[in-house]
Amino acid sequence: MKDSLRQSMALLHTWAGLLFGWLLFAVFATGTAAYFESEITRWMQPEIVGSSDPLTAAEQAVDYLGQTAPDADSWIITLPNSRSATTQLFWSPSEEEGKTYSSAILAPDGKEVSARETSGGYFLYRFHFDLHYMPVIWARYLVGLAAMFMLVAILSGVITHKKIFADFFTLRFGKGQRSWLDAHNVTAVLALPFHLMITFTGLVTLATMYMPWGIAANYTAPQTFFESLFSSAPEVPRTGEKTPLAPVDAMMRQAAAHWDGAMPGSVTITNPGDSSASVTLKSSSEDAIGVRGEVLRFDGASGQLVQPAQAKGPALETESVMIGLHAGRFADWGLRWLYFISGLGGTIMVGSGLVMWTAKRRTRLPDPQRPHFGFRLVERLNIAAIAGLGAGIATYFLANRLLPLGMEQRADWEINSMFLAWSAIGLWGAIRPVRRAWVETLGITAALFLAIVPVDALTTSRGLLASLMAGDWAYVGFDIVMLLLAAGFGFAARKASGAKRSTSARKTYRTPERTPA
Amino acid sequence: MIHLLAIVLSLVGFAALALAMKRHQREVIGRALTDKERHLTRSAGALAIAASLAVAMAAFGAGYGAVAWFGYMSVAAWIVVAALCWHARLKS
Repeated sequence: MKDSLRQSMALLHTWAGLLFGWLLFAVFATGTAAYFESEITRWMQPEIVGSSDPLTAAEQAVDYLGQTAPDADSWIITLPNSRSATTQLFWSPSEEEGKTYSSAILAPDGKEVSARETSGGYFLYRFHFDLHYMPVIWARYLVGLAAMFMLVAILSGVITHKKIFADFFTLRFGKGQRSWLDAHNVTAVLALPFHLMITFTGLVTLATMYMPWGIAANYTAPQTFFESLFSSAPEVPRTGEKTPLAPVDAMMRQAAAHWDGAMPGSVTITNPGDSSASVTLKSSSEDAIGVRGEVLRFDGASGQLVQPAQAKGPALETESVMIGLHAGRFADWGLRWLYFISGLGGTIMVGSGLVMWTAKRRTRLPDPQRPHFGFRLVERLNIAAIAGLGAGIATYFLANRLLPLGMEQRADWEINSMFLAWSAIGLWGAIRPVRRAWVETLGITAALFLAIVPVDALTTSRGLLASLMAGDWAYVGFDIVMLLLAAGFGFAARKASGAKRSTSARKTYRTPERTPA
Repeated sequence: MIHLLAIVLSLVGFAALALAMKRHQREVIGRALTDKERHLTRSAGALAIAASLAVAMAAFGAGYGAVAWFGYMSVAAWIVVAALCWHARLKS
């Protein structure tokens, strides 16, 4: 009975994991990169230097918007924080037709950013649940489905694992299929709480989309639900009475006094320049685990606090903390690295699981020289997913440095470059003999990551050495991670080239170990 | 700095837990520990890991400390795995 449960769970684990494994690998990898979204964006806009404090930035933003969009219904200002130096502005309605809002990014000097056009780390963040080249809504359903399969795979995987404690620390190299199983187990088990948390909370981030029925049963339109929950300032018509905005920095100081000295993360101003103006300050996502921070509202004309912070209900508080745990915006740099490393572990877990599907079946093929179609398909898709995505991300960074600065739709072309490289590797992996395909594609990916460091040093004044001297840790960290990724893919390529020998050596798998000299 | 201290505590803890296992005893010290030694090692390991949580919670508060603690444990356990791998390679 017990064994049959384990067997059926093993079956479930194998196929639930395989079906969405390739997508999950991409989601895990880009989601992990998104923990350093701001740092990646900083790296991808080397023109922007220096840092900015929220008070000055807010003042600059209000000045800028007062000149650019004095008649807008609302201004939304996302302030810089310890990780990002820029201020993001949105305002509506937009001057342009067909757009609901306009946006701008201000550099620390308060002028509009004149850096190269790029989507930066934001693209990797969005890709991990919106994918690309497809309607966002489909992508989110697809990623949600994948996350549910992931949850099933995690739970069935725990039941399937025969010796979860005995093999806790076990990783043996050079033993073919056994080594893959060890690697899969070690990456999965040792960060199991993280994997469970990230998968579940990932689903929670889009829960109202995946399970809309609760809202549908109680509200006429979903919008009513969100409005009643996340009360933004009520929409009031402009009075037409021109009134200058009270100083925002005074309101921010007052808010900081409410929040143990922490500055707000964003400022929303409705009806700016009017006597009905209202200013809403939201606490920064850096200051609490919960992502739905506290809100204080001020009267725009007098600067008086009109709506003190309201406590959230337990359900909303839970949701807020879960999304916060997923996104990790509250994490200081130490915890951020732990998040990143755990995410890498998850990526390796998914990747090693995919490879194991083939490793396990290769020895049992009726004719190993000519595997059946399904086997070949999985084998080739694995190459495309693992080496291909790596090469794609490396190319995305390289394109950022190498595409002409004045290029039309430059940001889009950076993204296109990523998918072109990804497809090219997929194609290369599909037509070459499979062993060579692994070695070559992993080797190319390693070379691409390695190339980033010298290319950065040659095309900007912020290369690894210069950044090291300047103590610019975001840049140093980025370059070092690129070198480590190059080393990792290079190591994998070397292992893949040696794998030929271990296929013939697999029969001698049980020979006694050499006695230590 | 607190992060570092807490990781070291977790690391000591998981290293002790690994040493309390027969398989790794043979690999690392070449003999099996006595029952008494094994119990002692295991308790010390559990204690060090608990201390890591205590340090994190005292420094960062209960919520933040608990989140960080899971991170410390994963990283520490992976370091132990890597060290055992490295040790096995040196020996062969």
